[in-house]
Amino acid sequence: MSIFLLQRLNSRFWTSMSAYCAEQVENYFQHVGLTRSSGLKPSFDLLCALLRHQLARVPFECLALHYSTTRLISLDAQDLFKKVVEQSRGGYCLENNAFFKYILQSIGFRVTSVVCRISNASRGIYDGGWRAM
Amino acid sequence: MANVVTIDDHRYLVDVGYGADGPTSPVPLESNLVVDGLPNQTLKLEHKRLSQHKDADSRVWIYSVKRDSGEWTEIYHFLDVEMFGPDFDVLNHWNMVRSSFAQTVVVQRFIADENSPDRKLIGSMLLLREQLKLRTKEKEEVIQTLKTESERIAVLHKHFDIVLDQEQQNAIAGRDNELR
Repeated sequence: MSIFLLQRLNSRFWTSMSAYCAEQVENYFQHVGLTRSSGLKPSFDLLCALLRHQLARVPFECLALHYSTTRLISLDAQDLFKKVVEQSRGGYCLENNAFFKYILQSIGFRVTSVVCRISNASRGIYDGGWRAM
Repeated sequence: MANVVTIDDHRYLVDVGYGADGPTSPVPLESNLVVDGLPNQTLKLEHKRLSQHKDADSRVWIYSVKRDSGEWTEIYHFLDVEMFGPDFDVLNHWNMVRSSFAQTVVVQRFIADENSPDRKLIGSMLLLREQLKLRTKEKEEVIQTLKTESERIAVLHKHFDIVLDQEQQNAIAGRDNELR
């Protein structure tokens, strides 16, 4: 894989506190079926509404690893916006959670990201073990 | 990866990337506090040491799910440490080359109750390889078993609003996951 492509995929905007402009946030609200976004402030109720609408409209999917000639996944904020909102796609956990974090931060929510390990129990294997994903 | 959102000094697990057993409500980071998820489902976080921890002071947050009056199932745990972009770039690279997602076609979204004013989530639509399933509190049923790529492309459009262009559709040709 070329070094230039790898650099392009790496998330250069992780430290941005407002990855998306007001127009992008508005487009996202329309995409997931929420009423207009302007003037909204972070609150628990808004967080719940965003969560419900996101989960119903933006699928979990890994099709980029199958229906794709490159089979490469970008975590760049603008690439994620294009994929989710403009191309009406979803992503796997890193894509969807990175995207949602950018949306929340752009509205003013305080968000940090954490790393998870998945239980073998969630796949019916009750050995007390965990795996990366 | 998951996110922790802080509102008025209260912290919540917020995860939109796990799939059908993921938390459909923000889950407070308060050990053993139970909150509602989907209908007939409850969720909780526990702050615990794992059996694998050699350090007696180590703790993680374990996310668990219970359906009806059944048993709690531990789904995943997370470390209460803020991670940065380069950390997830490493995981992303591993996912692209090694994970089960690279071997299996999986698509899932939650279903909202169109009649409820706040669009309460009531179940999931799941496409796993060649099977399309609907899961609600009452049942899990296979809606369709797909035999060809055309059928799967149509299902992606109809049930998930995913439209793949011709180049994307052709890209799976010859691979193990192709339906033929």
